[in-house]
Amino acid sequence: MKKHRILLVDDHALVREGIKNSLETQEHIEVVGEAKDGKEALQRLSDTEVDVVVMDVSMPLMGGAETTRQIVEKYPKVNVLVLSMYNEETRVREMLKAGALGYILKSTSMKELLEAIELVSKGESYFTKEVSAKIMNQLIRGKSDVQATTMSKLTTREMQILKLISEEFTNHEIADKLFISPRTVDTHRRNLIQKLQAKNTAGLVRFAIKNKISEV
Amino acid sequence: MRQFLEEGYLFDIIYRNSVEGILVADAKGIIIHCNPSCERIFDYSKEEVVGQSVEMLIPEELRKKHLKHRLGYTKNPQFRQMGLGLELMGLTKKGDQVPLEISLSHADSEKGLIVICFIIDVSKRRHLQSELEKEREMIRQYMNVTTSLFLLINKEEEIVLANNALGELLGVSSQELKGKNWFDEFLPETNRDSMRQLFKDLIEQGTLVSDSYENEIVTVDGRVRLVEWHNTLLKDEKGQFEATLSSGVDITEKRALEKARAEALFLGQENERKRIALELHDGLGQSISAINLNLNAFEPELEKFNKKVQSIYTNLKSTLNETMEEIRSISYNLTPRILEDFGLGKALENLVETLNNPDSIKLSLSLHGDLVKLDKSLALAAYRIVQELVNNALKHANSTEINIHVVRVKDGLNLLIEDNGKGFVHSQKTMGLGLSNVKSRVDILKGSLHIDSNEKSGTSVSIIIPL
Repeated sequence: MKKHRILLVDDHALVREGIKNSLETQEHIEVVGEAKDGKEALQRLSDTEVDVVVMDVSMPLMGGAETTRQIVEKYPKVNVLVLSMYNEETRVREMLKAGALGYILKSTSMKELLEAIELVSKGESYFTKEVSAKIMNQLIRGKSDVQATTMSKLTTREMQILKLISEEFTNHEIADKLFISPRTVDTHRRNLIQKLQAKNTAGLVRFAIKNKISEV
Repeated sequence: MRQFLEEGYLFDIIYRNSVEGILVADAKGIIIHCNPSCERIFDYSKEEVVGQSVEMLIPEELRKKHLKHRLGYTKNPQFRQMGLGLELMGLTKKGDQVPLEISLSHADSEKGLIVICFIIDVSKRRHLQSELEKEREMIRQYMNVTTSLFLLINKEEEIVLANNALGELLGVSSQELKGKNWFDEFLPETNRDSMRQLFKDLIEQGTLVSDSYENEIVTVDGRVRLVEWHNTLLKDEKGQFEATLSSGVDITEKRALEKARAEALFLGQENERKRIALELHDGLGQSISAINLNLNAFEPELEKFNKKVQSIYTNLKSTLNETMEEIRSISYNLTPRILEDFGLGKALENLVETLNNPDSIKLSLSLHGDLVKLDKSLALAAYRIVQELVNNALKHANSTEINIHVVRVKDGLNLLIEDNGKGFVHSQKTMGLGLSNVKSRVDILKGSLHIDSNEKSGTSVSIIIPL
């Protein structure tokens, strides 16, 4: 069986050491190199044959996202598996956009690490449970975002105010009706103008009429 | 004269009980009569003075002059009213001089012309008057040497009085200030109308909302100064408010210093947080990661061990995971790294995602415009402001719904945080620490803050930060 050739990229020597130690006993896996940042990683890749890069996210000089982008561009056969402490959706998305195939956390288990290496080396993807849940979430929300019209981006309060504006109530009258101050109404009005890309209050009224908000 | 007195008992009573001293003399200045009040003023008994020349009641040095006046009067007698009467010094039996106010009248009798003098001892009044003078002088001096600003404005908005300190600050002599319109000449256009309204309300309703006000004034050469005023309302004789008397202190430098201090404090705080977060995440966090990854090496060997060892291993792993999660969240709360790397929008999305809880609280975030290219310190301040206000809404207002609007407008950033909680009374005194932090952050950014809070519709905080 062909051994998976691994490059470890992490700015913490302790972490690289840990991964190396755990993989040592695995006969089908060989750690062929280490790098403490993106620049070093690219150097290693230029003279070493690598199947999977185990990549950290935040590193000095060149971070995980940029390094991944360059690796994917220059070495299409090399696959990237992210191993990070970060679990925020924004980070995950950024790494995936850069071209990483897998994303696991540093709290991973041996079983998961091996499974992830196995899949990613074959060009498939692997996400740890926590991360895949977040991506699913984002997918669901992202879909609704696309469907969303300008109108449904408005909050209930904004709809109320837009409706009252279209009915030609003044800031003071709207304030009285909604038990808020005229100044808050004015802030909403200005936000609405910005959000609906209207030029002025007349534009808001036109929008309200066009979208039949006064009938809501 | 005797005949006149005998005419009625009533006149006698008046004569005896008059508070004024009444002294009657003939054309030659010989005293014919004096009433009890007159006796009291000079300390003589009637018997001692009757038959004597009136000059005995005049101090030595004035006698000649008095004689001349007296002769002039007998030649051309006329009624001299009390108020316009002569004021002169009298001489008592003891030799003391008393200031007197005297008016003269005359009558013809069988003995020829008689002169009636009405005499008032004004020594008490004199004393009071000079005390009042002294006090006035002291106030005048105080007003001229004090660094406090004094300003009296009548209801026509004109300066009635301004002291030297105010004159110096404005660059106009305090004399020249008189009669100028305070609002038109010395308030910046931006708050002129609102100050005018405040003044109008004060004069018309007499209500002082707060004991001190802060507002900017503009000097003759266009400099803007911040003054803290304490106002008092003055009434006219009918009890209507007619003017405001304000004493003020120039707090421009003090405020600037406070602002600089707050700014330095925030900066220091953020730097410290960042340092600790970094050490937590990159130091401790990575060490624990390394421990975990090293420990993984045992996993394939585990089946060789008994159940007890296996369960110790499992416990160890889960404790490590919890510790890592804790380090991650503490570090993130200290400094949201996403903010630095991905900007305000992403950081707020992450905040909302972490706080949202389907069982208790629904947060919605509405972002508009480019929030990535914001200045870093501004983005951090905006993030902290939102964080603080959301925390307030969660902790203190029992809200179940929070809307966050962050809108980038052409020349600024609008933040609006609304909740459906129970609202709070937002006088400055009850402003919590969280809110006062928000306020000083907004001040540092030269922004404006408006709080709208009541039980019916919750709290809306709107903030405009200029860019």
